[in-house]
Amino acid sequence: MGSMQRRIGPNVVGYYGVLQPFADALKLVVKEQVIPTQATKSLFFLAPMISLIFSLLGWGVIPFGPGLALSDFSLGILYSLAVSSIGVYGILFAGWSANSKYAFLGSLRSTAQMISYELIYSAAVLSVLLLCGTFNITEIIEMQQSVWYVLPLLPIFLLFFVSALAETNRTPFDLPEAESELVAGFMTEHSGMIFVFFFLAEYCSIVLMSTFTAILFLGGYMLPGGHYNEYIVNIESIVLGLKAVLFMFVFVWIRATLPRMRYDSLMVFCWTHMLPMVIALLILIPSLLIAFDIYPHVLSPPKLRHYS
Amino acid sequence: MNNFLLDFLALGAIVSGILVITSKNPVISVLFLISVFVNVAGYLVLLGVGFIGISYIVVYVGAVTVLFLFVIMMLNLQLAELNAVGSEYTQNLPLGAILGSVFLFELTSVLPPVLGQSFSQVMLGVLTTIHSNLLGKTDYNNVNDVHLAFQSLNIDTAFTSTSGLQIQSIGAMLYTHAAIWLILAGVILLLAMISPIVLSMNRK
Amino acid sequence: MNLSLILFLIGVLGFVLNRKNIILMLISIEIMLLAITFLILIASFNFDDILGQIYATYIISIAGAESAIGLGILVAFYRLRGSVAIEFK
Repeated sequence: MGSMQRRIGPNVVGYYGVLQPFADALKLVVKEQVIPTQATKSLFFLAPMISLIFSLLGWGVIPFGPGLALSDFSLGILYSLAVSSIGVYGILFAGWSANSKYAFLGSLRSTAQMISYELIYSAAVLSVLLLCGTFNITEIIEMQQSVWYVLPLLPIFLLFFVSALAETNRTPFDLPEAESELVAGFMTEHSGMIFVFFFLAEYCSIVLMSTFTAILFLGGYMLPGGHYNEYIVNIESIVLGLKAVLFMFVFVWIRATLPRMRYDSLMVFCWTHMLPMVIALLILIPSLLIAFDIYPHVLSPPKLRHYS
Repeated sequence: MNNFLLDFLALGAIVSGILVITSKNPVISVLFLISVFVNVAGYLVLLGVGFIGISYIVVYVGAVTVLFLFVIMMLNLQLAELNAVGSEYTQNLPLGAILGSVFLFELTSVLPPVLGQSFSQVMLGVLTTIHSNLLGKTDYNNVNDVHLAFQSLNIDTAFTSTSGLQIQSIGAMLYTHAAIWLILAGVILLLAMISPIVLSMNRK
Repeated sequence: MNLSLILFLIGVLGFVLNRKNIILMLISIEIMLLAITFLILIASFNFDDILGQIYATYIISIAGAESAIGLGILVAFYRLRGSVAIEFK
């Protein structure tokens, strides 16, 4: 990031500063815990744990190869949406329990932003689901053998990625951490170990989002051309990792290049530009599928029992 | 094991439900409301009603409760004002007691006792004793059919007449047999979208 | 099934005992709706019938609409009166 912004980054610790993150983490861990006297203590400690636990729980349904998921159950996408929607509470309670105006305003802003973009995020995911006709993540990946969904669904992919940026509070949308106006947003009062929890939750959700993007749009663990693995080494998980790393790089790239948006323009952008677009696409895609009779045949309805 | 989990979740739902209506601070009570929803959703998923169970979390926890918290936090109520409300408990206590006893009577007499487990067993035992002393009924050994119906294997395939997932049969019913009510629900949701905008609009 | 009845009882008691706090009344309504939906779902599971789940889907959407309108009324009420307490006098 330092070289992208034409400045010298931290380069003292270790060779070229490779040990800097470890030094930072060590510094945070040994720091003293400071608890505001007016804070609601239980919630103050519960909130970081909520955010970390629910961003880690999302990994439960990610498949690292055919059938290599912790739980390969049929409602995987819905599960991940539900878990990411619970993660909002960590931020909301963190801001409220600290009993400080900065933290409170930061959490309100951040929550409003995350709820608004959650809408776009879910709508984009749903339009992917229309193409493959299943909620199971492994089946979604297997449906992409012929073509990765990034090609037919390019506009959806762009919308999805922008909303993923906003979901994880990354740079063009990192209003919760706007240092110049809100100090550090909802985690102003948190320090030491529980601050590390927030930090880990944020980066964990970035990695999760990139993996999810790779799964939904870049064919997940599959090599191009539907190659099947017959080696001992699990190449598929490496492929998935490489695709995810690509998106993580884009996250950092965007962070290094783009300036922060203003808050009102952020919300206006969400509700008046992105939402109509994603709803129009959500109507257009099934119409095309029906018009050319190419909807996935998983959808063929089971026999109905008659209730007349 | 699964029965134990189900009872644990039910107990969690009841305890946090009681905490919802007894806690003074509305934010805390909304926190326990989330706990109720998560417990009930977990109960449903374990029971085998997977899709609705997860939609509970998405809709209630992800949207409705966030709205509640938002409004409570934005209004920024003074705690003293809310604490004054606490003195009003006594006024309505007789009504509450009557309602509660009617419900408990219903639990023990009208319905077959499907509680039957752990914590519930104790409560039911007490109620049965009281009841048999008052009314002379003692036959409370009906089959517990809720728990018999539970099998962990049929989580996705319950409710389907043919092969296929639960969500597929829901969708097939929703768009054919019940399409009119689906449109009606859509209209009601549109109403719910417009009316808060109109209500909270600043009239000059 | 008794779980849903107990939850409904909790909701009713919360509604009756907290007559002055409109937020708690809304929360109690949510609990009651939850209990009823739960009852329907359990019944539909016992009878192995999909109609109960469809009905539950409708109730969930109606509950979402209800809470949105209720909170809208709450905000308007707060602006009008300056407090959320209901007076019965």
